Amino acid sequence: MVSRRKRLIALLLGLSLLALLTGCGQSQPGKGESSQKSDAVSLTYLEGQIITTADPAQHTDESSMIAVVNLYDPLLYPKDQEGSMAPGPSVADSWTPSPDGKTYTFQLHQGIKFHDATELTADDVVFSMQRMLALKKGFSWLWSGVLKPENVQAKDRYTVVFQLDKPYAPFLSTLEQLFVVNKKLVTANKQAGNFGDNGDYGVAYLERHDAGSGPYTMGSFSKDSELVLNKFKDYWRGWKPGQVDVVHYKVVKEEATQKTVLLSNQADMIDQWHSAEFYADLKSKPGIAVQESPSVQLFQVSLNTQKAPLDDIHFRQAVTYAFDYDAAAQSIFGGAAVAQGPVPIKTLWHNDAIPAFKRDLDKARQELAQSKYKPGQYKLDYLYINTNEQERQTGLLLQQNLKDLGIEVNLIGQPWAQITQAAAKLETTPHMVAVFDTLKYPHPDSHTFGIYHSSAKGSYRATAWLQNTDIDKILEQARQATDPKDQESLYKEAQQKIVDQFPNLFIVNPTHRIAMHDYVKGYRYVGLLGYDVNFYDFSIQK
Amino acid sequence: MSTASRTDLSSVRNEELRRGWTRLKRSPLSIVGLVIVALVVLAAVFAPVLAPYPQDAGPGVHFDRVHKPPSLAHLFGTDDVGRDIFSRSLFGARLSLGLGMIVLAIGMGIGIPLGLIAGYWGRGVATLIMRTADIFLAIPSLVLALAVAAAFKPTLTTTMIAISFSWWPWFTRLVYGEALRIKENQFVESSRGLGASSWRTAYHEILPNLISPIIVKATLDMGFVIMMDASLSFLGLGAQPPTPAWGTMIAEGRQYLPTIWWQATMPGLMILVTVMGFNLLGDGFRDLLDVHADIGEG
Repeated sequence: MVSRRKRLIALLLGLSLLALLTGCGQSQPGKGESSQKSDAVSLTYLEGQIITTADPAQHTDESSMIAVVNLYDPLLYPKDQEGSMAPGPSVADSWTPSPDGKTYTFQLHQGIKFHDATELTADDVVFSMQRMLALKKGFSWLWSGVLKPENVQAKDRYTVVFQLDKPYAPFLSTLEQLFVVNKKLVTANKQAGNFGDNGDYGVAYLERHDAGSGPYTMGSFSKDSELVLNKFKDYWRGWKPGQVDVVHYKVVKEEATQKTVLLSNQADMIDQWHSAEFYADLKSKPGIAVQESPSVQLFQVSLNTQKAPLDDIHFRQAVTYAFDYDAAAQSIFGGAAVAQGPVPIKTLWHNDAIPAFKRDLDKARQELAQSKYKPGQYKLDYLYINTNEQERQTGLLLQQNLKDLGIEVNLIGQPWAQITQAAAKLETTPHMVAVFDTLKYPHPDSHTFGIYHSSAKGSYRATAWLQNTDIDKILEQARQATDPKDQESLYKEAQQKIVDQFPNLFIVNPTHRIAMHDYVKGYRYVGLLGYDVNFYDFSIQK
Repeated sequence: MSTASRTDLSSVRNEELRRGWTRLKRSPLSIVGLVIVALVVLAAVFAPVLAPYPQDAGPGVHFDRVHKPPSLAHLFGTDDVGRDIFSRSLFGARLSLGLGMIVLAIGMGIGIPLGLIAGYWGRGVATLIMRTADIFLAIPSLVLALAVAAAFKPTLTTTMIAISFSWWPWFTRLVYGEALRIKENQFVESSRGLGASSWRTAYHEILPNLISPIIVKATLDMGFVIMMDASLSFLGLGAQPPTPAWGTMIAEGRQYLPTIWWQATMPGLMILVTVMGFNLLGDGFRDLLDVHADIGEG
């Protein structure tokens, strides 16, 4: 008895100690905040994935894009104030293309200061582009093959000239991904590396520091927990009262935790990667605003065109017509638009003549009858991200729809890293892969050339492994056409040709949703990944 | 003479059983454990009959009844694609118990003979076997299972192999320790003295005396195996959708907490109750069979 009582006392002591500790943990930040200068406006944003990098030559996904947009300035910025993604002035004030579409001359804005107070000049732009091309990471694929490093030149202190190898229709749009780094600072902090005189091109330094001219400077940065951004007082676009001084850009992976933290006022805003139902629930809470906008994202399920039985176009058509697109759009994506072809509907030069697919079981059966494969001959593997609810639900719907044709589907949930790995080789790519693909630059080229040209193979975007010389040829022509009218008709023709091959189930262009407290003002959905979360646009009005 | 001693022995055993049963009766918790386990086993066996929506265990979606709270029509509510959680939980019991039994069968199949060999023959063989077992025990079992499950395609079979892999050493260690102890008893020595072969001695004299601790350990372990299976499927490494594994169901439902509380809570309660049932029953067996051996925990 005694020993039992002792144990109980020990347990109680332990519990109270634990309570004390967690209690302290909670009260400390509160105290810290109140003791700070009370006039500093701070904002906490929760991100569901790790912040992969803050290096403007390596960013690819949303979190790294947000980091880069806030720390650096791009050469061209989307005309978001006019509700457009088309490139507008930023570091470059104005530009002139040559008539043959191969030479572009940019006039830079004068008086832009980097965070260390040196002025941003043409040399920095040249250095940034050369660094991007040399590192061959992030968005460098946008220019590899059309631009040689030595063909980027500073004509004078404020003039940069790009000499392309061949006409490249989406060139101006791609410059929204060229962020300018401080040449002097990066060069001063380079370490030994593979790039000759440039050492490691400052890769190690930029992992933990910034070298930008953007509205915010890097306070502290830890990939899997938090990026703290402090207002840069001398930012060239100026500051107005109410804008955010300190940003806590925090990683919180659990959806339920994000919600709790937002509702308990410990965060001001959370990211966009949740289900429609999740935002519907938040919307019903007082003081929470959910912004909804049609997105330029495409949710698609690839049909591996080089793997039996999907190598047969009739079989692909049978699968295509068996899927219930309307059910997916309504019940899984909470009222999204059914996709019309490979290019998101809101994109420039989207081919409106391509209809949205509909479930048509009779047509599916006819196609299946013409196929050389029998429905029960193969089981189809469906690969999806194991934490993504919408991808899993789509898989379950597909499973049910295809059962009506007698085709069995295996669901395989894997982490994102394993999916990109599986997509790298044809042999490891399963029959079907679910992918959310956001426009990479505001141009149809992103979702045509970037996915269906032979050069795109091996990426998670191109798991259909479509090999079609006809499509390759049109896409190359479209890129090289100099007249925008020709470009438009070629890109539209390419979209139709792609649809005719049935390489993907083009499912929906999901509605973009993001949630914040209603005192956060100034949020603007741009379409282009990450640009909507430029904290410079935000203000707090309590 | 030998027949006389046999009857003596059996009457002693009967007496022990009777005493054990009295002890078991005095501990109401063990009875609770017994009832829970009986219910779960019944649920698992008769799942297709008991489940109100048996088709929900297979492929299928019902967007017209998504996230309905618990009611008479849906005892545990419905999930994010409108499937009846009660029906899926019953089929989940089938899966969990089946997996538990297979894992323990493999674990015992490998562990007991190895332990017996090591304990009875001893020396070099024992060192080899027991150090190998130690190596396996040194790696946390969940980590080992994770590694195996991640190295192959995530399926139910891989999960099973993965858990079995990390389970056999526990039985080896238990049997080894007990065999060492029993080996020194007089009846073993007399059996050897009468000219019985090593194999016969180990199999007929030592093994029967090990059955009680093994039963107790297996019962207690059943709960742990179910827990581990749930953890692995929670992490996405077990059975793939639409298979109604409890861990997977929790993983799917946790996204909707706390608003849609029933989707994650109901399968969670199933795990809680089942594991508790096996633990209580195991404790009861321990009293019943009067086992003093250090059973250890998986």
